[in-house]
Amino acid sequence: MTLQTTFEAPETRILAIPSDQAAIQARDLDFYYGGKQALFGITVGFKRRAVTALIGPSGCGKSTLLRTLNRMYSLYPGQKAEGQVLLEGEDVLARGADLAALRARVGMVFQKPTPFPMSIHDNVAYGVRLYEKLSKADMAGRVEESLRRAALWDEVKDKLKDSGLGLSGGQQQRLCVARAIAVKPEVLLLDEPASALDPISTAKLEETIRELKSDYTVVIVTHNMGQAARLSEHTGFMYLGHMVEFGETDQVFTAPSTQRARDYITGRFG
Amino acid sequence: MSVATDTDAPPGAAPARTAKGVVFDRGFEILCFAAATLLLSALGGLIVSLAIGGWPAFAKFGFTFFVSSEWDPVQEVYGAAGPIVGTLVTATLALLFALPFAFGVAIFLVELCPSKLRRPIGTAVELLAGIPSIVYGMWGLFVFAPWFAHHVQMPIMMQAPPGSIWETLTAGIPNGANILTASLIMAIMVLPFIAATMRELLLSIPPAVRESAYGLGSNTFEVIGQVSIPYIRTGAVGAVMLGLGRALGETMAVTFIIGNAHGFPTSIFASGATIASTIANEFAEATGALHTASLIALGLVLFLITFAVLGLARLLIARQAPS
Repeated sequence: MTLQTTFEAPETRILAIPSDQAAIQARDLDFYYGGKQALFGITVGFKRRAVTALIGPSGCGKSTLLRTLNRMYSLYPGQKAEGQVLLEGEDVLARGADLAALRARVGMVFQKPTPFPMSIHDNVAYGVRLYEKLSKADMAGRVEESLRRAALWDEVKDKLKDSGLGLSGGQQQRLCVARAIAVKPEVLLLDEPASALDPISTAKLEETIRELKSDYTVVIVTHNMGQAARLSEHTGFMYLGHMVEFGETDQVFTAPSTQRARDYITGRFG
Repeated sequence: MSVATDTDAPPGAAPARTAKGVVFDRGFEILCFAAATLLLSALGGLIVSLAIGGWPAFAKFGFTFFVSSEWDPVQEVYGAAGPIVGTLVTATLALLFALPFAFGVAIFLVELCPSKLRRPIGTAVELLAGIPSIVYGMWGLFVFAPWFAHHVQMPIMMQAPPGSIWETLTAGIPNGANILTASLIMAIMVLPFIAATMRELLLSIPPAVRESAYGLGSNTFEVIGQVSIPYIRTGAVGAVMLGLGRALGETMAVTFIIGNAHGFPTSIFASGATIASTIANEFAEATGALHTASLIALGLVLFLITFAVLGLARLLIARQAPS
């Protein structure tokens, strides 16, 4: 309740994504951590089969918005969202929504790699096994396809039975991407996926993300503005829980129309 | 050059400080080394004195000390098979009873418990761990054993068909002082330790790993079974072994309720003895030198069993740890 007092009436400029083009969209979305409001009336659409980047200073609500889209926050009592999140027109915030099924449709990759304590093959197969009964050969095919798409196949094809924990940080993160895409989600949420990686791994991961957009709707939270500019079609700039500016990436980076976004992007704060 | 001057220290001051530091460091190293050496020599001394004290028994009975169950202070014949088997059986049974409950308590506390209940239940588990052994023993003898004899042991014994193996396995005096009740009391005693350790282990799992599993569409049961428990596997083995170590050495409560009979136990309802209960019962009134020596030899055996359990735990942990 203290944060927003410095920022009462934001000047905003939001490019509306037509509903029929958006895979997932938020409408008048408010979010609360206990009594503290973290998102304020977010209305934004994420275009199908495109990469959308979310940028903004730490604590501005980017990750919170991401965690609302797959209802990850529901694991924690005391966190609640109000408004609407529509996944292909279906309100995922509705009471009684099947969360496990929702999360299978909306995949997520975290800031730090989170391999499971099992073999590389089983890491990728884990989510698939939950929802599909595949023969051994089909599963092997799915695992290979996913690892190829995550640009990891060539590095691990000879050691699929080894523990996923034995990979390097960059490889682990691409393993997590492979695991997330193996279940063929409609939307892929990436929460600062490259922040713990070295530049080479980051480049590989970016290549992977660029490949993915032909099939997936990707939402990526990043502190790296170069990365946002390189990868995304749309960019949203958030500040203190508000979506301040949302538009074509070129336009947001070269000619931001709000003062806040201009200051942030030109490096005057943040 | 300008970097070095920003502390404004006079030239020469730094080397003096360093020389003093070296002396201090050296002294500190020696103290730590002495502490570690002292502990190791205490351990070594313990083993040696147990071996010397128990030697007459080993010399007199040889290998039969371990395989004979005849324990007769009047004839001065001592065979330790009864207490050794009693120790292993009660500790193993206790662990088997305690483990599922401990897992359940830990998982409930970490994953499922409403936040309002988390503190009271967590505190209760810790309290359970803090109750002195003798209190468990008294409660076991005066409350639990009679209840158990009347409501569990007797009905089961009546059900056993005469002449069957079932009858042999459940033969005994229906007074509740037997191997099974001792194991159950022991299970209650080790449960809080294992549960508390498991809870800490589960809490140590990074939230993002659990969220990743949920993020792929798992339900709570799948997350716990396929991700959380494998994640803490190594530590869990250690926790179980610590519980086993505690059960092996548990003395007072067991002495109260195991019935203290030296024969080789063939039935879960038979009175028995463990190494620790035998020593506690007989040391003060050991009649001859050989009796004392046999008890000390028993102590050495218990020491070695515990040592082996811990060694095995280390081995399992080392093998399971990711390379």
